[in-house]
Parts: sequence; C-alpha cells; structure tokens
Amino acid sequence: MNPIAYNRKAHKLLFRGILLFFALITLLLTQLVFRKSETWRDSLMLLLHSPESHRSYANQDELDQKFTSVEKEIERNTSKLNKLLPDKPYIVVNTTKNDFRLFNAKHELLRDGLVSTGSFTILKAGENRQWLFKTPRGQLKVLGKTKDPVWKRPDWAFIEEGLKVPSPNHPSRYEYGTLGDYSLNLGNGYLIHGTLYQRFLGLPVTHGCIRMGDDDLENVFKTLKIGSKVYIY
Amino acid sequence: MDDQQHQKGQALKQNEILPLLRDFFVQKRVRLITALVLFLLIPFVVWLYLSVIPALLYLPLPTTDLSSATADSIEMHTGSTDAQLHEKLLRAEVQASALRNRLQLAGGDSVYMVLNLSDSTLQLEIKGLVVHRAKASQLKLSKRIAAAGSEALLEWTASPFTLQNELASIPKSPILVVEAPKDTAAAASLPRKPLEPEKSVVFYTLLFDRSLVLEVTQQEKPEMEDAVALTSYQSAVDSSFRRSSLSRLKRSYSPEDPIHIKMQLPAADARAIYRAIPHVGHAKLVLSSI
Repeated sequence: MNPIAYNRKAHKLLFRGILLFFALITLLLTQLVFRKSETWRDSLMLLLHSPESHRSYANQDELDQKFTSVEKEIERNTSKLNKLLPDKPYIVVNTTKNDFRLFNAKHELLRDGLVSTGSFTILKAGENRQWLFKTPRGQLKVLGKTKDPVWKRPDWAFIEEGLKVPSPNHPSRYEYGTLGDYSLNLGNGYLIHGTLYQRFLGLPVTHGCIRMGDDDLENVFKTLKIGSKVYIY
Repeated sequence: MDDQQHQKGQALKQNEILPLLRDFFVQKRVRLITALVLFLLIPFVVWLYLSVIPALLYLPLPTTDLSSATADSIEMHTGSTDAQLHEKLLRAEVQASALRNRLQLAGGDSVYMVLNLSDSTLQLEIKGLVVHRAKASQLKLSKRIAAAGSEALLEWTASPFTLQNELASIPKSPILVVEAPKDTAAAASLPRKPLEPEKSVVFYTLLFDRSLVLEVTQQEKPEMEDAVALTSYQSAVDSSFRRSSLSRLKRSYSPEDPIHIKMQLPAADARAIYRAIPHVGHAKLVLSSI
C-alpha cells in the first residue's frame, strides 16, 4: 500500500477514534450530571438561599405577646394529648414482632413477653365465603374477662380441618381447655387467651386472637380491668 | 465620501473574514477541537439546566396552600428585630405545629408516624400514645430542608403528610391464600407458612404529598440470599425516580421533585413500622422538631 495513503487512513481512523472516545466521555459525563443534578442543585440552593427570618415585629411587646400565645397553645394541646392517654393499666401488642408490653397507669413497664397473633392466611371456601386471619390494629378495649373460658368453634375451624360444619349450637362446637385458664374479650370475636401451642409464641399463627403463655396471661388478666385499653399495631 | 469608504472597508473586511473562517474550519485539527468543545458543552449545559438555573430561580421547598394554618402566627411588620427571640419563637411554633398535627391524628383510629428530626427517632402512635419508638443509626436530610429556613419549613410541615405511594422489599401483608380442604386428609397437606421469624431484607421508600420521600433501610448488612429481593426493590426505586428525572428534561425543576429523608433502622423496627402503618392514602406522618 502507498505509504501516504496508509498514513491518511491511519489519521482518519485516529480522528474517528478520538471523536468516539470524547463522545463516550460526553455520554458518561452527561449521565453523571443527570444523576447528580438533584444533589448539586440542592447544594447550590443551600449556598444561595440563606435561611434567614423575614419576619419582624413592631416592638418587643408584640413579640412577647406572640410567644406567650404560642406557649399557651403548646400547653393546651399537650394537656389535650395527655388526656387521651390511658389512665388505667394497658397493654401494647406488636403483631409483627409478636410480642407484648404491659404497663401500669403511670406508663411504667410491668411485664413483656411473646405472643402469637394473626397468620395473615386467607381461607377460601367457595366463591362467596372466605376469612382473613388477621389481628385487628388500633386501640381496642377489654370488654369482658372470663376464667376457664370455653371456645365455641366458629365455622372456619371446621372448614379448615376439612370437616362438615355442624349446626350453630351443636356440642362439637364447644371445646374446653383450648383457650387456657383465662380470656379477655376485645370484641368482634377477638380474644386474648392462652394456648396449647406455647412453642409457637413469637410467631404469627393464630386466626386473629392474641395467644399468650400461661404466666403472662395470668399476669395480664389480673392487671387489666374491664375498659382497659389494648393497643395493637 | 467617508461613508462610502467606510462601507467599502467593511465589505472588504467581510470578504476577508469569511474565507478565513472557511479555511479555519476546513482544517482537521480545528474541526476536531470544535467538535470536542461542543461535546463537552453538552454535560455543562445539562448541569446549567438541571442544577444551576433551578437553584437560582426556585425556592427550596414547594409552596403550599397550607399557609392559612399558620397565617395567624406569621405577620409582617417593619421595625426592630431580635434574631434570638425570633428563633425561639419559631422553634416554639414548630413545636406547636407538630403538637397540633399529633392531636389531629390522635382523634382518629389509625396508627400514624411521628418523625422527630432532633433525636433521629421514628415513632408509631395510636391515639396519642407512643406504641413504638425506633432510633435511627443514620439520618440524612435533603439539603433543601436546611436551605429552606424555619418559616418555609413551618409552612411545609403545617399539616400531616399523607402517604401517596410506596415501594418495599417486603410485602405489606404477608398473605397466604389457601383453599378449603375437602376432607381431613387434604387438610393435613394444606400449605402453611414457615414456622420461624421473618428474616427478609427490609428496605422501603414512602412517597408522601408535598414531595416528601422517606427512605428507610435496615442497618444490618443484607445477606447473600437477599440479593434478589434487594435488586428487585432497587430497580423499582430506580425506575420510579428515573422516570421522574426524565420528565424533568422537559421541565428542569418542579415543586414535586422529591425531598429525601433517608434513615437507617434496625430491621425488626423497620419491618414493624412498615407493617403497622395504614395503606397508601391513609398513612400519615408528622414531621417534628426541625
């Protein structure tokens, strides 16, 4: 090949190579600018906008007056918020960690331990019937307390075992000892009760009720009164 | 005469300049350098468009129509000022505003979050009672919050933030669906959840109104087996924010651009908080003590 022609070709290639290289660099730089633009913009904002107060008051009295009114509002709202807090012993249940904390009226921790809560299982029985086994969240109240409770098995307890659902008051619906020595009624069929399956404490395995170990249950039963608040989250 | 000579001179100059420029750009080196300069100008222009111009033209926080909530406490006058007293008053107003919001939410039945920036805690409350408190091992705030100043922040945080969207590496409710068994034999072989505590990696992003984005990551180092969940979560987050970034090319800055608060919590706390808060549209957050 003619050395001059070869030289030209090599130059052309080099020229294109350099262009391509810089095009790539540009692409990468643009990408970087694009990704970092928000951070850089915010940093620039911090430099450019000095967070100074634009307010001013005619005199010291006006400022004092304003301050007093805000302080009064804080005091008023703190008092309102405190009035919402429980004035009796109460229990807090964490359905994710499956644990509980029992407090007295002064908000001092009396006892903590493991529980079992709803399993988040949906049981489907045909097209129109299904149950979600979930522990309700929010603030509930102890509506009733029972010693040696008897469990009246609902329809799902038979359906999930592949059994025929008996009539509403059939003797097979009544189970003794399953709920432990005590139960506290939270309404809508939800209870705090004992369990035969103590090895599952700390795990979400129930049909929505809160199961406790024997000693914990006895303590909770004796501490909480009817009307005591139960906080579940 | 002078005008004619002047015009002639100018025509001559133009006649000289144009070929000169033509010759100049015909040269390969010049073309190359021009191309390179133009290439490098692109990221610079993008930087100007996306970072510098918005920083110059816009306020750090989105303006809201919530000023009425604090309107009675913000009065403009002229006269003597006392910076320290003003700052004290503003702090008190921030506290009053957070209390007002907590009181408002305590009136409802839902679980709500209170993010306290002064002690880096995220707490869950039900009817005014703190049921869970998690201390962040790391808390990063968007610089826009620092740039905004107390008054703008007071306005921004005047009412509780409402959750608008969420992205998470864990399901909101770990639901298992089972069909009712036909007999006792089928019941014995029903699918059941593993009887051990959840260990999956906990990363989530909560997108609230007024552009607030709360990113929560677990402080524990993720395990190898979490790689799939983590990659899937990260790509969902990237895709979500990249999409909004692309749309920014049309509009270099929008008040809806996210204002990030990033925090690291113990995995158990992060999981408990995410599972406890209500769904999108209902979950509320109070920002307190800025």
